[in-house]
Amino acid sequence: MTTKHVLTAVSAATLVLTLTACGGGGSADNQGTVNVSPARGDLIQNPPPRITSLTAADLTASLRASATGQGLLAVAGTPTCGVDVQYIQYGTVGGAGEATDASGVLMTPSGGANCTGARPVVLYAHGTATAKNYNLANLSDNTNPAYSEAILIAATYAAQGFIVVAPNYAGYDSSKLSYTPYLNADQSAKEMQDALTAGRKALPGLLQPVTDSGKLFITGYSQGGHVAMATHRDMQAAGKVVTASAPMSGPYALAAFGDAIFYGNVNIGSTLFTPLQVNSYQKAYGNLYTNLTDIYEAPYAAGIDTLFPTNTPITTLFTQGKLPQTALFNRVPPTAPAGAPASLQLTLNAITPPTTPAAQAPLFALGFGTNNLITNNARLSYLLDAIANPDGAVPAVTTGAQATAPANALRIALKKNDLRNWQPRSPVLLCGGGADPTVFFSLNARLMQGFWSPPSPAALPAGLLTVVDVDSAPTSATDPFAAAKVGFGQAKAQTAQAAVVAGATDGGASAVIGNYHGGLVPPFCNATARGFFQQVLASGK
Amino acid sequence: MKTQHFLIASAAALACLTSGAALAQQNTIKFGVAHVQPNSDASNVSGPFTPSGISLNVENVTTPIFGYVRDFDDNWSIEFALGLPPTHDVTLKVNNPNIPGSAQALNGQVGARVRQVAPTVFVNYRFLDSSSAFRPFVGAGINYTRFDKTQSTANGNTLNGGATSLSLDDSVGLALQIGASYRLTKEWSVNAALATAQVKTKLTTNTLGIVRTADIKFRPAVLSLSVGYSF
Repeated sequence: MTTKHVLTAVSAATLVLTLTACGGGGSADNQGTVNVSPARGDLIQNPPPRITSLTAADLTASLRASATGQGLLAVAGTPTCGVDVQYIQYGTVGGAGEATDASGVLMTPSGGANCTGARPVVLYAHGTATAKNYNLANLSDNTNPAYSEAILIAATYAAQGFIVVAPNYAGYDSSKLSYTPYLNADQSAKEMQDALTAGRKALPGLLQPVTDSGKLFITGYSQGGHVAMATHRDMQAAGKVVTASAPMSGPYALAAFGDAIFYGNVNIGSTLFTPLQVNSYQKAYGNLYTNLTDIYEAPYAAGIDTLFPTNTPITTLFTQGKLPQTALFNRVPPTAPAGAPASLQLTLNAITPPTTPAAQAPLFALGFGTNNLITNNARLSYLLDAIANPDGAVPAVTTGAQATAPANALRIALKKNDLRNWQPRSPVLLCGGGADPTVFFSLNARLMQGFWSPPSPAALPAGLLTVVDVDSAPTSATDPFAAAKVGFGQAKAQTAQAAVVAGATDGGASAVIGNYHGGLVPPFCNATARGFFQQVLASGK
Repeated sequence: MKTQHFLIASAAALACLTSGAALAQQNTIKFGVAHVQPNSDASNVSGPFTPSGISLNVENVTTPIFGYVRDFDDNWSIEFALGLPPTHDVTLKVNNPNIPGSAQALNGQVGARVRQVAPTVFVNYRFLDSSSAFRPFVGAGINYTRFDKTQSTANGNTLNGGATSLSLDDSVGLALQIGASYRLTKEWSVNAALATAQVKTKLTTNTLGIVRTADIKFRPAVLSLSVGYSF
C-alpha cells in the first residue's frame, strides 16, 4: 500500500508540474529599446544603463580615500555636482569606413544649482590604451584600466557641471571591431561625433535627465589630444558648433613627430604606439606592408597585427617577448644603399642613436637595442624618403609645414593624419608639459603654435590660440595659468622626492620621466582646459 | 487562478481513480492562513558593472491557503496544498563600504516584489487511532515553486541603474511537514502544521541590457492554521 501511495503522489506531482509549466511566469526582458544594427550615432541601448551615481559628497569622499585622489581633488577642486555615469553603445565606423559599433561613457551632473537643467557638453578623447577592456563607464570597478582617467574627467568636468561624452573608441570594450583605428584622424573625428550624437539622444531618458545647453567643448589627452583636434577640424568643416577646444599633449603634427622618431628621437612608449599605428593605417589604407616582416623584425612579426587591443598586461607582453620594452630600432645603423654619398652613412651613424641634444640622448638611447622591433630596412626606406621629401620641421625647422610629396607609405599615412592643415575659428588652447618624453611638446604643440602664428600663412587672429606649458614658470604675477604651473612643479618635485626616499640615486629623474606624460601632466592640463572652457562660457562667446 | 483550480480538480480526480480503498470520510477540504518565512540565503549579485557586496533578502508574508486531503486508510493520506500566491517584498542588501553613499542608503529598502506559486503534494501519516479527536501527523512530498510575477521598484531601478525586469527559475524539491488536527465535529476540524521545503532558484535581472544573476536558497518555514471540512 505504502509504495502505491507514494507513486500516486509522485504522479500527481508530475501532473502539477506539467500543467503549471504552461502558466505565466516572466523573463528578465530588456525594458529599453535595443537597436542591433545601429547607424552612425544611433544608440544600441536606449535609455542607456546607469553604472553608478555619485553625489558631490560621494565623489569627494571617494577622492579623499586615496593619495592620488587627494592630489586630484586639490587640482580639480571640490566637486560641486553629483555625477551619474551612463554606459553608452553606439553605431560608428572603423578605419576603412566599415560599419561597426563602440562604447563609451555619458557622465551627467546632478544636484546643485549649476548642475541641472541645460548644461554645456565636454566631448573628451582618452589617451592610448592597449587594454581591450578599457571602459571609461566602468566607475564601479577601480581595477578597470580606464578607472583613473574616468575619475579624472568625472572630477574635472562632470563634477563641475559639464555633461561629459567620452568614447572608449572602436575596437575596445564591447566594440565588435577587431582592431582599433589608432591616430586615424578621419575615423576618430567621426567616432567622436557619433558618440556625441548618441550621448545627446540618451539625455532625455536618464534617471536624472539634464539637457544640452548647445555649448560644445572638445578636449582629450595624448592620442585623445590628436582626436580632439581632428574632431574640432571636422566639425568646423561641417559647419557644426564647436564652442572651444583644448587638445592636450597630443601628436598633432604627426608626420613631423614620425620623422623625428625615425631620425632617432625615440619617445617613451614607441614600441606600443608603432604597432598600433602601423596596424591602424594598414587597415585603413592597405599599403603599408605586404608581409609583416617588411616592417617588423621576425621575432615580433607573427601576430603583431592582431596583438592590440589585448587584455594581456603590457608587462606580460614584454616578458613573453611579444614586444621589446623600449628598443624600437636596431643599435647597428642601417647601411646606406650602394652609390649613396658617403655623408648618408655618416648621418645614419649619427642618429643611431643620436647623441644630441645631450640632455635627451639617454632617453633616445633607450629606443635602440639588439632585440629591436623595426627592421633597419624599414627605417632606412623611411629615412631616405624623409631626406628626399623633408618635412618642414624635421630634422630642422624650415617652413614648419608638412612634407610636400612624401613617397614612403608610412610617411604618406602620417601626413594624411597630420593636423597642420586647418585653422580653427573658435578658441583653442593647447596644453602640455615642455619636457614630455612621450609626446614631444616642441614638435607638436609648439609647432602648431608656429603654424598658427605670423608669419605663417595659416596664422590665426590674435587671441584665438593659447598655448600652455605646465612645466614652466609663471610668466608674470597675472599669469592665468600660474596655479597649474606651480602645482605641476610641486607634483614633479614630490614625485622625485618620493623616488629618492624609495632609494632612487638619480635624484628622482627617472621617476619623473616615467610619470611625466601619463601621471603628472594630465590633472594639471585638464584643470587648465576646464578653466579655459569656463572662461569661454563666462565671456558669452 | 483558473489553472490552479484545474490543478486541484485534476489532482483530486487522479487520486480518486488510483485509490483502492473505500472509506466513509475520505475527503477533506482545508481553508486557512499561512505565515511564510522564506529564510532566503542569496549570493552576492554578479554580472557586468556590479560591485561586490550587493545581495537581497526575501521577506515574510502571510497568505490564505487551501488544500485537499484524500484519505487512503486510517493513517495514510495524500494532501494537495496551495496558497493564494503570496507576493514577497525583496529587500536590498548593500554591504560594501566602497559603494557610493547614495547606494548605501538603499540598504534594507524594498527593491522588488515577487509573487510565488508553490503547489505541494504531501503523503501524510497520521498517528493515533481514527477515533481520536487529536491526531498529529507527519508528511513528506514534493514542492514546486514558480515565481510568476515580478516587479522592480523605483529603489530597485535606482540601485540597478535603470528600468529593470527580473525573473526567477522554477524550483522542485523535497517538502516536509509536521502538524496536528483536532476534530470538532464529524465534519469540521482545525489543523495546524509547520512545513518546509528545499527551494533553490536563480534570480536574473535585466537592467537596460545589463544582465545580473544571484543564486537564492530558501529554507522556508510555513506555519499554517486551517479549518477542515470532511465529507
